[in-house]
Amino acid sequence: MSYGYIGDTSSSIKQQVKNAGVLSMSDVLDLESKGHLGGSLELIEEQTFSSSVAQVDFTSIQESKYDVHFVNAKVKFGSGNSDLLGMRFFESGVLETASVYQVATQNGQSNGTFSEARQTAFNYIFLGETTDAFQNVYCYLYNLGNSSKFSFATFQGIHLDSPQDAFFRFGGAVLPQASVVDGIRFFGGASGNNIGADFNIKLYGVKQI
Amino acid sequence: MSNLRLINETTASSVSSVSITDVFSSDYDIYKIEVVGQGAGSTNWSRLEFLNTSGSTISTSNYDFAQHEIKTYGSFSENRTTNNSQFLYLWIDNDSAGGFGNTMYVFNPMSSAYTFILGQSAGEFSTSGNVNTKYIGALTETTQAQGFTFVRATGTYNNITVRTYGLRVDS
Repeated sequence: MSYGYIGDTSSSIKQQVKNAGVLSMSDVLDLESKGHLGGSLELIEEQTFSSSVAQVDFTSIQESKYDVHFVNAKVKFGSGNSDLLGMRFFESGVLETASVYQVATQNGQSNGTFSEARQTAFNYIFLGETTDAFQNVYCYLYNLGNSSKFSFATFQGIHLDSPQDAFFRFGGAVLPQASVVDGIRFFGGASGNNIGADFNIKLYGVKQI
Repeated sequence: MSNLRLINETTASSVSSVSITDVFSSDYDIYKIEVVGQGAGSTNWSRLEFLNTSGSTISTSNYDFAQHEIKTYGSFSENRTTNNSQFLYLWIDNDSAGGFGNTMYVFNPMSSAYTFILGQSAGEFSTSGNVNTKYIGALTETTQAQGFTFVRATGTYNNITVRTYGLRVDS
C-alpha cells in the first residue's frame, strides 16, 4: 500500500512504538472510496434496557446500504420462563406474522442429546431457547433490502438448558418472499415471555462499497 | 472501529465462476468472505478452489471437506470428501427461489501451514425449500494461496457479489 508517513521517515528516527501513520486528505478520500478506511463491521444500533420488555424492534436497519447484516444478541427470559428467542421481519413497515418462515436448526446438548428442528411454515424464526441464564446468539442476515431476493439468515447460539446443560443451536432460515425487509423484531416466541432485563442486542452492517 | 478490514469487493453477473485474485497476503492470517447472489437455471451447488501466487488454480487432489446439510423440509444429511480437487457443497441455489447468502473464514492461506476454511450458508433447493449448511475444509498442502474462485457446479450466477475482509493483526 502506498500510504504512510508524510513526515520524516529517515533512518534517523528510532521509533519504539509502532506508528499508525499520517494520511493526507487525498489519501483519506482515496481509501474511503475503496472501502479501506476504518473497520468493516459498522454498528447500526445497539439496544439494552434495565427492565424487561415485550419485544425489541430495530426499524432503521439501513437495508439499502447493506446486503449483509450481523446481529449479536445476549438475551434471557427470567426464572421459570422458558422460551424461544423469536425473530420476525418487517416488510415495508408491516410485521410479517403469518406462517411463512422456513427454519431448520441442529441442536446439541452437553448431556449427549442431539436433535433436529425444522419447519416449512412457521410464524417466526427461532434462534435459541433459554430461561434465566443469558443465551448468546450471532446471526447473519442476507439480502434484506433486495426486493427481488428472499431474505435469508444463518445463526448459531449457546444457552444453558435445564438442569444447566450447555445447549447449542445452529441453523438457517428464510422468509421466502421477494420483498424489502426494513425492520427486525426479537421477542419471546414460544410462550410470549418478556425479554428479561439487561439484554443486549447489537445490529451491524457489514461494510460494502 | 472494528478489526474487520474490507480488502476487496467483486460483483459479477451471468458468469459460471468468479475469481478473486491478490487478496491474501502476509498482512492477515484470517480472512472473512461474504457472498450474496442469485443463481440461474437449475438448482446447483457452489464450490471453492484456491489460486496460487501466480493466479493459477491449485487443482491438486488435496481438498478435504465436510458439510452438514440443514434442510427445512426433510432429514438433515451430510456430505464429505477427501482428496478432492475442490471444496464442494458450499451453498445451493436456483434462479426461481430468491438467492443465497454465505459467510466463511479462511485461515493461513499465505503461511507455511495448511489452509483451513469454515463457514455457513443459506439457500434454496428447487421448489423443496430452504437448505442451510455448516462446513469445514482443509487444503492439505502448504502451497501459498493468494486468491480463490467460486465455481457453480453447472450453469451460471445471475449475479454474485463477493467481499473479502481481513481480521486486523496488531504486532
